[in-house]
Amino acid sequence: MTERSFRFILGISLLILLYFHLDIGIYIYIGILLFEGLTNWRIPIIASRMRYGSAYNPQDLSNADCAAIPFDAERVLRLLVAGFLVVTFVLFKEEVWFFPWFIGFMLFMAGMTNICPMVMGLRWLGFR
Amino acid sequence: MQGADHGTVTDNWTRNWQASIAVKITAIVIWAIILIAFVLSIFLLKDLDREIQADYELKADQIAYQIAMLWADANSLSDEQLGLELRARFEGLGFTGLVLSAGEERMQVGRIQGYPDSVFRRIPMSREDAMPVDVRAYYPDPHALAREQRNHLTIGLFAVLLVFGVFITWATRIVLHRPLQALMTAIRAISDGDQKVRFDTNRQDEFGTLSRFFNAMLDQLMRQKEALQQALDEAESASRSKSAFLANMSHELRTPLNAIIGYSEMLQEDAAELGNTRSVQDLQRIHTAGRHLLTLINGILDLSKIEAGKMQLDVARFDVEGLVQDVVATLKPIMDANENDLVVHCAPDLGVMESDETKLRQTLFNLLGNAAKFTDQGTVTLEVSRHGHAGEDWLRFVVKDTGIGIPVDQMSRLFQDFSQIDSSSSRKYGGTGLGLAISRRYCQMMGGDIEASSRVGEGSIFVVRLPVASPTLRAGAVAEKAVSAEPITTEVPAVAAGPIPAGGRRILVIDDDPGTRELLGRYLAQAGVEVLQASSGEEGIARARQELPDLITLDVRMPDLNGMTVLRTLKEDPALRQIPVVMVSMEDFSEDWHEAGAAAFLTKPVDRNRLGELVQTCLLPEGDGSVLLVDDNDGTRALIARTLQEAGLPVIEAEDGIRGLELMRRHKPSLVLTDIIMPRMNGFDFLDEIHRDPALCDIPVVVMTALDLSEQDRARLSGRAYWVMEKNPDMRAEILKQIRDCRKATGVCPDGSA
Repeated sequence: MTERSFRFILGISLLILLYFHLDIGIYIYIGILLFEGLTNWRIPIIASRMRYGSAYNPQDLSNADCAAIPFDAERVLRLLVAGFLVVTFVLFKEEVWFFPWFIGFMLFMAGMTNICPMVMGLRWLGFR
Repeated sequence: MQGADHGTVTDNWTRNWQASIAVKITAIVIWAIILIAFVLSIFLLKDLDREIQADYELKADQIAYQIAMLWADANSLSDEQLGLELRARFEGLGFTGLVLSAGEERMQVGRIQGYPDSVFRRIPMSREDAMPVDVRAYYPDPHALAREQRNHLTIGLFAVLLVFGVFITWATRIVLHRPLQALMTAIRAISDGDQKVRFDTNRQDEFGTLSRFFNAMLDQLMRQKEALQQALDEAESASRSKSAFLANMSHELRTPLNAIIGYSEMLQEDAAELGNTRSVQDLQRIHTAGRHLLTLINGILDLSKIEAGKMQLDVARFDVEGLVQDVVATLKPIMDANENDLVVHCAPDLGVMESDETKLRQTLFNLLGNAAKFTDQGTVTLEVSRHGHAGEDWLRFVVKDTGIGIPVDQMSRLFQDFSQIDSSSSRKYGGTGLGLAISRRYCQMMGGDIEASSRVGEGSIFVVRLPVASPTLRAGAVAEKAVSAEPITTEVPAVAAGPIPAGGRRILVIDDDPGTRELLGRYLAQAGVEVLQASSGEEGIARARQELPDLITLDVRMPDLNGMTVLRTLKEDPALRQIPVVMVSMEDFSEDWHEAGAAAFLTKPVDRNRLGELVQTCLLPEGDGSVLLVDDNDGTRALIARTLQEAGLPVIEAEDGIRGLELMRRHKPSLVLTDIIMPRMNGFDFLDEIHRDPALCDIPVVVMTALDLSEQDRARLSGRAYWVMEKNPDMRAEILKQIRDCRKATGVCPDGSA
């Protein structure tokens, strides 16, 4: 499983959870993202290792050696998305109701096109 | 993206932005639309719940009015009918329930539990005694309703964006991607070599313009390529013409000079015999002028060859000190002519060199010759040393003299063509002014160079630096000479120059030039040889079959059949195969002539002494004249025997030393080729036995071995073997060469005649 396909799944999941008002699902969603971000036990990596064995080596860290900040951009993405959802869905649900939808749309588009502006921006900032 | 080994799954962020143009455009457009849509929705939907509430307030007025109308007719309706009428009205407006109360009476319609939000209206009655009716209409949570509406709107937007995105992608592919794909396909076809591909120029947009420019560029490139091809063809034609010119001029210029030099020499001898001193002097002048002209022509042709890039290096491995000694020995008479002392210092570690021995020899001849020429009663020093530089071994030849020196203003022209110190030097010192120019070019071809320094009145120093291994090796051809660094030789008497000792034999001279035929004929006739002549290759073959001569001299360049073709024809004829053939030519013969079966090679103008040596070597001597081949390996024996037989040498074979001794005593061969490791009697014992027998000890023995000889082995062979060579795939040519050198060096026939 690549990060691209996982972003697609995240986007679709979030949109479905939002449409059907499955607040519990969204809390679980936030929890998974926080877990991935804090531990770096990312679902794409786990799924790939289950499929390909321990030989799997995530090649998304192409500029790992020259990264200024030794922290994975994908982890930062998950933490940021979780944080945004906490703020916009849990704390200020009515005021910024649109933001979770926006996150869902962007994740979906990132999965469809393999172009994730946030990850690109994070890597430009120096994350691994 | 899956890795080929299924162990890696890549999602390189740089590849994220390397998606198809259609995807990039779609993504950018969709992002923009998402942003705009969300910004708009924020402003448009921010008060949605209040609007919903206001809407319910409005609807409450409507329901109140409808209830007032109903209440006026309430007496004609039962409670049930009234309830149904009310339900129909409020549910159509979106309320969930109504509570009507008038005084103590209270009526509830629909659902009110769980709906905290309601709208209150008091409906006054027209009759004075009637109580006003209080209406409370309950409706769903406006926040939930607003949320619901926002969800529907957002999903609707999502669907629209999805469709729009697909449309954008499709449109981009049609408008951008397909033309680009066509361009890429055409460019790929062109890079694969299909130069006739052209783009479709029917489009009027930017792609059409790009296509037209590409087509124009391709047409221009094709024209340039054709022009370059034409220029290349012309250059190759000019090069071929130049080569043909050089070859023809070489032949056309040297042929008459050959006659001038040769006949003047012969006439000198005749005049000397008759005592005509004055004619001798005149003929000497003619001879000298001819030699000088030949030197000049050789220099010019060599220079032309070098300039045309036709001069090749004939790279072989040779002993440096041996070459130096050879050069020094040859130049000694020239040194003595001006009473100069020649001092030679050779470093002990000179070793062997892989380069063109002939050109190096020529260079040293030139430098030492110049030193001798321009020095009178002085000292000429030759120092040879070996040193390392930039990881390579180099050899340094320094020629110093105490001669007249070179003026400073002449130094810059020293290595130019036809450059001499001054115009009078050619009259005083001779020379053509080409020697240094050619020598420098030779050195540069061999990967080195020549430097010069001088002081007028004190002398000059010329330094030649050459790499030990020439960088311009001929492909796959480094001829191996004797492998051992310390060749084992025996002292043999030098060849006697003079009349050609070949009495009673017949020699066929095949040459299209009557002058050469006449000259060679006279040289050979003086030795009592019967000379047969043929003016063409075909005539030569016919006369050889008819007369079966003892030796054939064969010109290389002939108009009908060239020399190599005649040689092959002779060697294919069993009756003529054994006749030794000496090739004669104007040019340096680079083809492997001895592989074709020739016994020797002579350059024109033919040197009488050299001709004599070759005839002496190649003519089968009276008596046995065979070569004894001693080797226990049948295959090796057959191979070498065939090589010798093709060269016109009769072969006797023996499988070990005991048999070899037997055959030697019976046949007295001219030369013995022997292996070392053999059964019954090995090579060492064989040589010991030969050395003990006075009748056999003068027969030269060449040892062929694959054995890695120790110092002890070499010591044992020293004094007994003429030469030791390694068995290798190229040994056949080496064997023939050693046989010729050996026979030349011995100059002795088995019957003892010189």
